[in-house]
Amino acid sequence: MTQSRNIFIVIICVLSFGFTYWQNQNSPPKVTISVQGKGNTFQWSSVVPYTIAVSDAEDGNTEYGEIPPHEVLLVAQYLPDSTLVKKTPSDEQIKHFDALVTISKALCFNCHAARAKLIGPSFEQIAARYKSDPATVDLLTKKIIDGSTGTWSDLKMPPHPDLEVQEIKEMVTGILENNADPDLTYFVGTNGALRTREKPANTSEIGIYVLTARYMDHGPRNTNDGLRTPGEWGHHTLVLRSLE
Amino acid sequence: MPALKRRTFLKNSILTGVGASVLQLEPTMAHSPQEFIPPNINASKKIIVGGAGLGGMCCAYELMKKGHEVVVLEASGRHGGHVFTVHDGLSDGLYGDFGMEHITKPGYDRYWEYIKEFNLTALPYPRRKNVLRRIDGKFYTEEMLHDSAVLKQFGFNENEVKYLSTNPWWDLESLYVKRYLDKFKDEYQPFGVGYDDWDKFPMSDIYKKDGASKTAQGFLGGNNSSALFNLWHDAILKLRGVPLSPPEVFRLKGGNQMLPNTFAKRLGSRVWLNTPIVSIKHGDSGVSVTYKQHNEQKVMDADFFVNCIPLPAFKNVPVDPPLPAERQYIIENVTYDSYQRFVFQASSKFWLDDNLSINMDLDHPDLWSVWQCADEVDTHRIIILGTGPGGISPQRALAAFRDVYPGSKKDTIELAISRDWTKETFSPTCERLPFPIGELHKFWPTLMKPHGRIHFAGAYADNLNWGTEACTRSANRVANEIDKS
Repeated sequence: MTQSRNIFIVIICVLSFGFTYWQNQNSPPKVTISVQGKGNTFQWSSVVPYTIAVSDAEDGNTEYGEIPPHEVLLVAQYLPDSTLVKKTPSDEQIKHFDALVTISKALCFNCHAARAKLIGPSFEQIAARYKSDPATVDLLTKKIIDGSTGTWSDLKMPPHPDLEVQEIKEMVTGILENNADPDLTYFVGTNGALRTREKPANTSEIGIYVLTARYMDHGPRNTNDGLRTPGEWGHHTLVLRSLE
Repeated sequence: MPALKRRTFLKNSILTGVGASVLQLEPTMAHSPQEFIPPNINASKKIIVGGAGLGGMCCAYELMKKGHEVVVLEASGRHGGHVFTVHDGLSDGLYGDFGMEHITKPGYDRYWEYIKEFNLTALPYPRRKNVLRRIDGKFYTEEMLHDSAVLKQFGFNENEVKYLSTNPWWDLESLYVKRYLDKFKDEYQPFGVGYDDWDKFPMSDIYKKDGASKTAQGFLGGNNSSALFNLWHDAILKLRGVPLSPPEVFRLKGGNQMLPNTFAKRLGSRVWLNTPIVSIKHGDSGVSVTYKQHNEQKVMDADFFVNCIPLPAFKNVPVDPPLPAERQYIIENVTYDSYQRFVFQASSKFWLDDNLSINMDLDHPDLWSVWQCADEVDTHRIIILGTGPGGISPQRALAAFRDVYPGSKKDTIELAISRDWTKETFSPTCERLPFPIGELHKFWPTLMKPHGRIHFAGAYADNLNWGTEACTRSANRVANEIDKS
């Protein structure tokens, strides 16, 4: 009788462990970027529309609007030489990638873009105006927390008291240090377009754009406390070659 | 590109599922007999309009009236763009305008013509009457802002005190600009009147030069637009007989979306929603537009394409052959403002308990201003609209209102909702911002000129940046240009 009870308990424990293990499993997201055009090529001084599809077992699918578009990132790097293309370029293309994710989740891209002026100045303009040193990081951090007006236009930047000081500092550092390279840009969203650069003068080289789409999923479903922690990155890289 | 013949257009239209809706040569399809407008079949042209905002709908309607075949391709699932009246979630049939706010009189001539043509009802909108302004944490009535003692305390100089004692607060700018405006004779021509070099410095320099006090400079701003641009803007209003901030404003009964709704009804099945444009080819004799419908790419040919898509979205559409560099610069560098519209529903006009006006400039970072809307709806409940920045929750905006509201009694607000345009995939843009200092010549007049078979209309494509007025004026301009071409 006691032996049967022990076996029963063991079975329950195994099932319970298995269920918990299954609950905590997290499948990495599948990210696919596609561009409009002829194969993986681009023309100089042209618009290359792109679409990023994300499918994740826990988070859902971009096709059904289940993935927040502002959590889907695209880094685009121009390279003058195809030999510079590396196998895992996205990690080396951009510094402070986590800060970029934080910027995106804080909805900063609603008003700012890497290279283009939207409602607020571009991050490139900000990086050109401010040096990346601790005092400047503190100054810009305070502006973001308190809000500001009149710095770039008559429009007001709203205050952001909901953000942590340390995470804002990391965001500011990322903004100031990610925009020095004019051949690198980044976007958020599942749809958009890259405007390719003019053909460099005095070169017959083939130009390369490395496009890397990334999405970090929200981790495993954990029904015990209802919370989900950041999980795994999914990414997909396309290499586009110039047509001429 | 080979010539795009009418037969080709018809064939492609059939192939792409256009069917009888667009092939309908009778442009009065949606009209009742008494509204019959004779078509001009002999001169019929085929036009694709990109974007079903107010500008696109207005342009398509005008082209249809002139007897042309037209189809409007809209990427989102609704028409109206930034003109958007909300009813959902509000009680007793109340509504609020999430987007477009008002029209003025004088001004908005074409809009007023549509009100008459469609028998719409314009209601007085006293949102600029009895405005309470919060300055440095204290509220001031209009009477207080005429009081020379109050004005001196702010730090205005003698001239400014004298002017504001007898003129509205919002008209302070006139004190410094009116001496310059007579030189402008043509509202579409800012150049050659003697101020061309004034595009190189900000308007604030003029205020300083002409002796504005530090206080006036602070209220007037002008650091981010050129003196030429600013004076041209004010001259346009003067030439139209419109004050700088007209106190007499109006809205449509039932919400401002009544006008795009009416255009849509007249246009009928010529308006295709959820049909984003993928790319555009253009040549000497026509255009070929690739669009997406039900996840399939299709192509339609036409004689002309009219871009009424806001430029930040249009720049993502490949155009073949590419537009000239100077045009591309405009497309990539026109900037717009954006904001969030809050809608508060309350169970009474609570502000009357304190003998206050609900028209308030709040000078709060989370909520800039509030006013009443939909007061003709037969209910004791009321709607207060507010404007503030994107990224603020409705509850935070309501907390801001309660933080600064000057009444001694509690408000009766029972619901707060909003539309944050800065987060919208479609139509996030509102009005065009001033062009960068020193760059007016790069934008004007190219901004409003056609390029071959591609024309440009919408809130961005006229001289004055007041969105609704720019939409209707540019739409009519383009419709006439195409009709006469």
